[in-house]
Order: sequence, then structure tokens, then C-alpha cells
Amino acid sequence: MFLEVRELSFGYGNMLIPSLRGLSFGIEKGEIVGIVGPSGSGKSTLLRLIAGFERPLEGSIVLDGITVAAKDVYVPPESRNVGMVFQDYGLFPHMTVRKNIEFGLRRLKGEERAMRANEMLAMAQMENFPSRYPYELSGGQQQRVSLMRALAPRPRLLLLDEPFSNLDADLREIMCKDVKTILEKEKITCLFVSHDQRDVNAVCSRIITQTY
Amino acid sequence: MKRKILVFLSICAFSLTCASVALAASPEVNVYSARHYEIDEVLYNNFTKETGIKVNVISGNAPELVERIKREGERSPADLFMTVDGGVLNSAKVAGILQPTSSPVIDAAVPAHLKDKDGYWVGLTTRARIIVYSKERVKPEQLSTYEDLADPKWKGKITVRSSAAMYDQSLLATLIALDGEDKAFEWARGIVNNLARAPQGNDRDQAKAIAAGISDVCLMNTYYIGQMLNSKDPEEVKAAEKVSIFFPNQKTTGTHLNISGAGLVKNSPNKENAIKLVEFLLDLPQQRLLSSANYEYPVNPAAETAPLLKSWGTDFKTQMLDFAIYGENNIKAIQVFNKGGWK
Amino acid sequence: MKRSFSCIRNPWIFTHRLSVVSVSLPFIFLAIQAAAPANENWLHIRGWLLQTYVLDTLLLTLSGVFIASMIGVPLAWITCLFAFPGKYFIEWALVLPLAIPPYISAYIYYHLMGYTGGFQAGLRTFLGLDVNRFGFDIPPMPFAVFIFAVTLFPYVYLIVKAFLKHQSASLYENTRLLGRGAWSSFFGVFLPLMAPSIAGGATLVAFEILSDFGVTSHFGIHTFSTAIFSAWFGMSDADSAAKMSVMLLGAVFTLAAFNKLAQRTLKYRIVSSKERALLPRIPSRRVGLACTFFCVLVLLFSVIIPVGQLFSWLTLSWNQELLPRLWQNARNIVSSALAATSCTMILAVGTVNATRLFPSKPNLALAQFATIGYSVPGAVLAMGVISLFSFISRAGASFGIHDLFDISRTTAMLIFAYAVRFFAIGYHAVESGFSKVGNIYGEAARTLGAGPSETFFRVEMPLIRNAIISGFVLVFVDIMKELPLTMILRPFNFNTLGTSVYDFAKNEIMEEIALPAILIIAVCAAFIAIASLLDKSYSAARPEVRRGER
Repeated sequence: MFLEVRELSFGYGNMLIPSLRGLSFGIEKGEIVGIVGPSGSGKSTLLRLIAGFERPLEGSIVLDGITVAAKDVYVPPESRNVGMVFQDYGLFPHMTVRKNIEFGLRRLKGEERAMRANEMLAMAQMENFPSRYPYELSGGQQQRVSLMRALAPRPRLLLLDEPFSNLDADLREIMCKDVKTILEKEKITCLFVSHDQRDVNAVCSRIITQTY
Repeated sequence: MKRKILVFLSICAFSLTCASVALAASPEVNVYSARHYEIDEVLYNNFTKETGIKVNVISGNAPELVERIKREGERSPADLFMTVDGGVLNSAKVAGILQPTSSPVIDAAVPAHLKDKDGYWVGLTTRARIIVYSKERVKPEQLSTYEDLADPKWKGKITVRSSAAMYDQSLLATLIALDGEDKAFEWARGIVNNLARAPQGNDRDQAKAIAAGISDVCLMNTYYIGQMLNSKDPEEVKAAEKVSIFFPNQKTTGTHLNISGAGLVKNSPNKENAIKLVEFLLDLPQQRLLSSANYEYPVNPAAETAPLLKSWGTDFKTQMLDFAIYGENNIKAIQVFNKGGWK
Repeated sequence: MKRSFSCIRNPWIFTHRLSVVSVSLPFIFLAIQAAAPANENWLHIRGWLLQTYVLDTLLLTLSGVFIASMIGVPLAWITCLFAFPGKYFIEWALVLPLAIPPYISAYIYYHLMGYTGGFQAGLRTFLGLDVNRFGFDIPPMPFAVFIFAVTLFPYVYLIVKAFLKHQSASLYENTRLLGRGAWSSFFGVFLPLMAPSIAGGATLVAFEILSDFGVTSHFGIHTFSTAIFSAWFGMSDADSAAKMSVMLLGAVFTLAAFNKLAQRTLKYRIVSSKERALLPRIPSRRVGLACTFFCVLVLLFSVIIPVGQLFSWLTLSWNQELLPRLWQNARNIVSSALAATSCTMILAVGTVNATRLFPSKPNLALAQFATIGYSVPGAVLAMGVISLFSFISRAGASFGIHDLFDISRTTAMLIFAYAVRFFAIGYHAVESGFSKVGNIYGEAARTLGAGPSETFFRVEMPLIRNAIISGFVLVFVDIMKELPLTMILRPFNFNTLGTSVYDFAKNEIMEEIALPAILIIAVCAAFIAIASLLDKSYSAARPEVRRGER
């Protein structure tokens, strides 16, 4: 198993009922797995736990053979090498498209960095607008840039949190295809969370259904 | 690494101005002063010119300075504590921040009743708290004593400062000593009954109240009238010209005198320089300057009094009380004010 | 790298602890020294004075806060809603009262309304009218309330305006579409929405009034601050002072708790981030002129009259020889204020970020605790700071380091005290900046491999830049206006513009305060102006930042 989640429980401080209880599943390398469930069922929380924004109450998360979260073990997000695409994209508003993509590449040398960024810009079909600011982009463009930004540092695992929820229906279909193509081309392991079965069907190879 | 940068930045910012005040190696004397008069600065400069000793000053309110010296403890750099009001001088002595001192020059310059009986402080100038009255509406014959102001005949004709004012606290402290606490309480209540308005403002505002026709009489320190008459603000001069002054209690206990003085601090690191500065301030030219610039009475009997003060007469009778009384009765005075309703 | 989450080695937690310790130490030293046996003085205070203190403090604070809100809220409302004539200048000018220390305003108005002041002298000279004959006299309490209202309302105005700017236009449009008039939409919809920000501004005003010494002592109003002061330093009764300090702190914490409660229960999350912002529209001529008139009236009393009086004094007292000395005084206070403000903001930013990175209950509570320096009387804090530094200096001497904090020669003590006192202002400014930005950018940066510090410096700091700048300006301006700490903690020969004003006022030579007072106001106004220019140019050049901040 590339990602292994064992008996994971989590609850926010002021809630009596935990938002996740004893969840276990695994993902193989290169798999694109979707998690479907109504809003409030703890899907986003699961992603936040895997990314390292929250620490689980119980259970453990093992990524590529390394335990990143368990009792007494906590690897901070920046050391997990996990990429994430947020529902609201989270593009840095004070940086251009190129700067956004280059943000995760600071370990690379100048030339390599530029090359990788160009590659990503091309895949995002943004090669003509590298110096635009996020607010100057359409929703679909923002979506693609944020995906490329997450992919640029070659994360071991990519997390997608409702990435299409802000797009209209037509664009959504196109984006689903684009994303699938890109993910397969980059051979990336991916966990995709959505409340919409269609999105997940279009992108994922395996589906886990999460209930309350 | 970022932490180091952060710590470094904090230290830089902190030391930026700390370092701007360099350590001085030349001869100096450190003065903590609650005298807030501009003429003092001139005198310090003259002292430095004459002796080469630099005068470092921290000025502030007297109780705070006393508290600061106390808390600085044996490492306090203070040499000289200067303030106005006998009560405050006494409280500094009681607080244990002063040490006795004497020198032939000081002994010769200052009469015995204008310095501490144990030598903890020595007077620099004096001022009288007098009755100021409306030239239009009051005849001097109607005035006699502080005590008389509590008489119902002055109902609605007096204005005073708030009881937080040190000068009135000291006046009341002496009345407690002279007339007893019960009489003093009656007096405070009598004054409150006679007030034309709630206690407020500073000394000058009381004279302005008379000029404005709000009241007919008030209590003021002598030098404020002098300063008003010589103000740059023509309206102030006009107001001061509408009033006149009266030295009360001439036939009884004498006019209330207050004092400004200096005391040598207990752990003074520059004791000799401090004594030199005091002697300098008591010398005739400086005493004359203090009087002429600030309208205070010099403590050195040989020094020339300002012409304006002379024109008011300098041979008035004063309360012959130990200034220590001002401090000893201070809390009683505050309590009497509170009980009497003098806000 | 995993170890970086241990408390001591993490720079943010380090800063957080540093702030907490810095603020607590003076109070610990105060507590040690306040442990004196009870005496009969306390009975006297309780019997004769306490009731007055409580009532006067309550009356002054509540009416001051009320009037300041009555001025601040409508101003914020009309400047956000209407593009009335002169709006752009007025909107900026309405911050200027912050540059005028309340005690200077008090001196000025007291003089102005007094017998020799411009008002009465004018009536006498031109109309031959002597209003005193009709018993003209302003009682101290309403006078003080007026002074606090006209000098402190910008706190309410600024905070409410910042809130309204982030409201969506559709909210207002909908209330109008649903058949409500402008008034009704104000009282029915926006007032409840504004309640948390009004509470925030009002709390700041209340703190300022509670800890004031200059205005209340000038008008002879006995509040807790003046009472603590006179009990401690007037009657040397530390015990009673400590008792009253505890009462005051109790009041302050209650106030802070109320504010927190208001923020929590009254806060309605504005759902979407993609709404159009509330933009001012052009009102009818009548409404527009009414708005302009109201603003000008406020400006008249808060800025124009006081500054005008200062300039008229200046013509009486102008003296070129004073300039070099005042120049030196100005340099003293500006450099100390800059150093102290930098320290304060570094501590504030570090502390807020630490509570975001490690939002445990103790961390949040400690950070809240560190803001109490703002609410105690300056003189009381000053005594704690002296005790602390004397202790350090003695400890240094016993280890043979004799020049460690030679406290009367450096401004270290003063700068430290400023930082402790005004930490709260910087903290709240940074906190509100962070809460507008939210967590998403920080989290995105973390998944891209940036550690907490890099995330802060590269992503979050640029986004909360405006909040940091406005915190910086508020702290700086407050230090420029500060009096008790400066008076008590300054080193030798260290005079500031504020102490010059105080000296002249104490000597009752009002016309001489003109020059230093004008310089204080000018420096503060310049800072406010630069900050608002920076803010404007930054936002104008990069509209995405404004969007991002929503």
C-alpha cells in the first residue's frame, strides 16, 4: 500500500461527536481514488489530516512506508511532500501565475526551476499569460493553475478537495477530462474528494463512499 | 535560522536608541527635579559654564520621582532631589531617600526655619498662598484671615482648585496644626458651602473666575499673579489687572508660606558636585534671578527680591511652622477634604 | 525538522512566550511590592470615596463611549454609503483627531471656554456681552465626556468602516428591494451586523478613558486611575492602590470578555467571497450636503478649533530660540517611538502567528493576557517597570556587570514600557488582518513545501501588510501622545514634545504649549497620511490584494 489510513478518528475541539470515526483504507501507487459522500461527512477533514493541517485523535497515516501521523508522531505538512488543490484554489493573490507555480520549486536551481515552470504553464494552457495575477483569470484558468502549482514539485500524493465545485457544468466536464489526462500523464497517486458522483466517475479508477 | 533573524532584529530595535545616550565620564551631577520652571534650565547652564560640571536632569512629578528613587535603590544615580512644597520634601525625608548635609555656605545663606531641622533638605525659594480678590467688588477691609473665608458672608463668592492640588493640601495641613482637626473640618465645609462653582482648574483659573465675575475671592500662590501680570497673552494680563492681593492672618497666625527646596539623595554618587550645585543656587545672583524671572521669594535674606514682589511688601508675617507639619498632616488634610465634600 | 515543533526551538512560540513574560514581569514585581499590611486609610477610601470613584468612572466611561459611538458609527455609515461632496478629503481627515492627545484638547477647550479664552473674550470685545453674568459655566463631567468623544471617536469610525467596506453591496440592495428605506436598512439590517465592530471600537475607547490620567486630573474627576495614583503616590498607601488596581483590572477583564462575547455571538459569517463590495453611491443633493455638514461639524470640534487655537497661541509665543530644543525633543520621542513600535509590532506579529500555528487554549489565553498592559494606568505600570529594571541592574552588578542596564542613562526602560503598554494595539491590528486573510493561503504554501516561517514571510506577511502598517501607525501615534510612562521612566536630560507640553501646562503658561503641541500633531498626522497613502497606492496597484483580503 502506498497510502495507508488505519483506524483514523478525529473531532474538532468543541464538538462532542467526532467527525471521523475508525476510518481505514489504502491506496496503491498510481491509483486515482475518489471519495464520495454528502457534505459534512468528514471528507475534507480526511484530506486535512492526510495533508497534516490537523492531528488525528487516534489511528495512523502511513505514506510510502513512512508513518506521518500516529500517536506521538507528527510530520508537518511541508515535510510530507503531499500536494493539494483547494476548493477555493488558494492561489496567492499577490503573486503572478508563474510565481505561484514556482513557489513549490525553490529547491531547484534557477534554470531547472524555469523549465519545470514552463512545462507546468504549458500543461495549464497558460504559457501566454505567465505574468497575470490570479484575479485576472477565469475560474477554469484559476483551477488549472492551482492544479499545476500543486503538481510542480512532483508530490508523492495529490489531494483534490472539491476542485470543480466553483465551475459551471460545461467547464466542469472539460476540466474533468483535462485533469484525468494530466494525472495519468504525470503518473501521480491521487485522492479526490467530491459530493458529486459524476465528477468522481469521470476522473477516478476506484471509489470509496463515505457516509456519516 | 529565522528565529535568529527575529531575535537579532528585536535586539537591534531595542538597542537603537538605548545606545544613543552615551555614558558620560566628565564630572556631573544628577538632578531629579519636580521644579518645572524654565529658569532652572538657565541656572543649570550657568553652573556648567562656571564649574565645568554637567547637570543631568530628570524632571517629573514629585511623588513619582520619590517612588523612582526608592525603587532604583542603592544603584540610583540620583544626587539631588528638588521639588516644591514642604510636605513633599518631608515625605522624601520620611521615605528614606535623602541624607543629611550641611556646609558653611549653606548655613550662612539660609535662615534656620527655611531648611529641614535635621538637615535633610534646604530651601531654595519660598512663595506665599494668599487671598486674591476682585478690585471692583471687594474692599481689602472686608478681608482678614483664611478662617474668615468659611464665614457665610462669602456664600457663592469663592472659587477653589480641586482637593488634589498639593498647595491647598498643605494649607489645610497647617490649619489642622494651628486650629485643630475639628476646626479645620468646619473650615473646609464652610468653604465648600461658599463655593461659586465646583472646584476645578489651576491657580490662574481662579483669578480668571474673579475677572469673569463668577466669584469675588480665591486662594493663589504669589508667583502665579506675577506671571499673569507679565503674560504674553493680553487677555491674561487684563484678567490679572482686575484682581488684587491680600496677605491674610497678619494679626493672627501669619500667611501660609510654602517652599521649594533640594535634598541630597541617600546614595548620591556625586555628593560633592551636588553640594556645589546647591551652594551655587543659593548664591546671590542666582537667588536674584529666581526671584525676578519666576516671582518667587529668595531664601537668602541678602538676595534682592523682584521689584513686583517688593511692591506688595516683603515684611508680612508668615506662619512660623516646621515644614515637616505639611507632610505629617497631609493624609489628615486629604481626609478632611474628602469628608468636607471638597472634591 | 520534525523537532521544530518543540516549543523552545520554534521562533514563533519563542516570540509568544517573550511577549507574555515581558508583560507579566512588571506586574509580578508590582504584586511583590504591593503586599503591604492593610491600614486604616483603606477604610477611609471605602467609606468616603469608593462610591464616587465607581460612579464617576462608570458615568465617564459609558457616556464617553456612547457619544464617541454616536459620532463614529454614522460617520462610517455615510462615508461608506454616499459619495457626498468632499468625501475623499473628509474620509481621510476624520482619522486626524487620533493625532491630537486628549489632554491637549482638554487644555485647549478649557482655556477657550474660560474667561480669557477666545469664546468669551470674543463675545466681550465684539458684543459687549459677558456671559458669566448669566452663570455661564461648564461642569467638568460633560466637558470631559465631550473631550473624550471628539478625540477618541476615530477608533469606532475606523473599525466600523473597515467592516462595512467588506460587506457586499447586495445586502444593501436587497434591503432596499424588500421595501426598506435607507434608515430602516441601517437600523434593521446593518446595525445588528455592525454590532461586533462597534463593540470592538467601543472597547478601545473605554480602555483609553479608563487609563486616562491627563484629562481627568485636569478636570478634577476622580476615576479609578486618578484614585490609584493618589492613593499610592499621594498617600503612600500601596495596599489601597493594589486593592483598587484589582478592581480596575476586574472591570477591564469584564469589558474584554463582553467584547469577546459580542464578537462570537453577534458575528454572522458573510457567506460568499465573490460579492461586489459596498461602493459609495451619489446621494441626492440634500442628503449629500447634510452628510458634508455633519462631517465638517465633527471636524470643526475635533480638529479645526483645537489646532486653530494652537496657532493663535503660537502667534503670541513664537520664539525662535526654542526651536533647537524642541527639535531635540522631537528627535528624542520620534526615535524612541520608532524603536518601541518596531519591538511592539515584532512581538505582536510573532505572538499572533504563534497562536495560529499552535491554537491551543493556553496559548490563546496567554496571548490575551499579554494585552493587559494597555488597560492599567500608565503610572502603575511604570513603577513595575522600574522595579524590574532595578532588579536586573542589581543582579547584573552582583555578577560584576556594572553597566548592565544603567537604567537612568538609557531609554531601554522607556522603550520596554511602551512595548508592554501598546502591545495590545499591535496585537489586535495583526489579529484582525489575519482573520481577514484566513488560513487557506498558509495551508496552500505548507503543502508546497514551505515551513511555517517561510510561509509567513513569503505568503502571509505580504497579504496582511496593510494590517501591520495600520498597527504600526496606531502604536506609533499612541506613543507620541503618551505621557505618564514618558514622565516617569525617561533617562537624564531626555525631554519629549509631550513633556514640554506638560511642563508648560503645569506652569499654567498655556500659550507656550502651542509649538510642541503642534509638532506632536504634525508628526502624528504625517504618519497617518503616509500610511493611508501607502495603503491607497498599494491597493490601487494591486486590486487582487483587496480581493484576496476578502
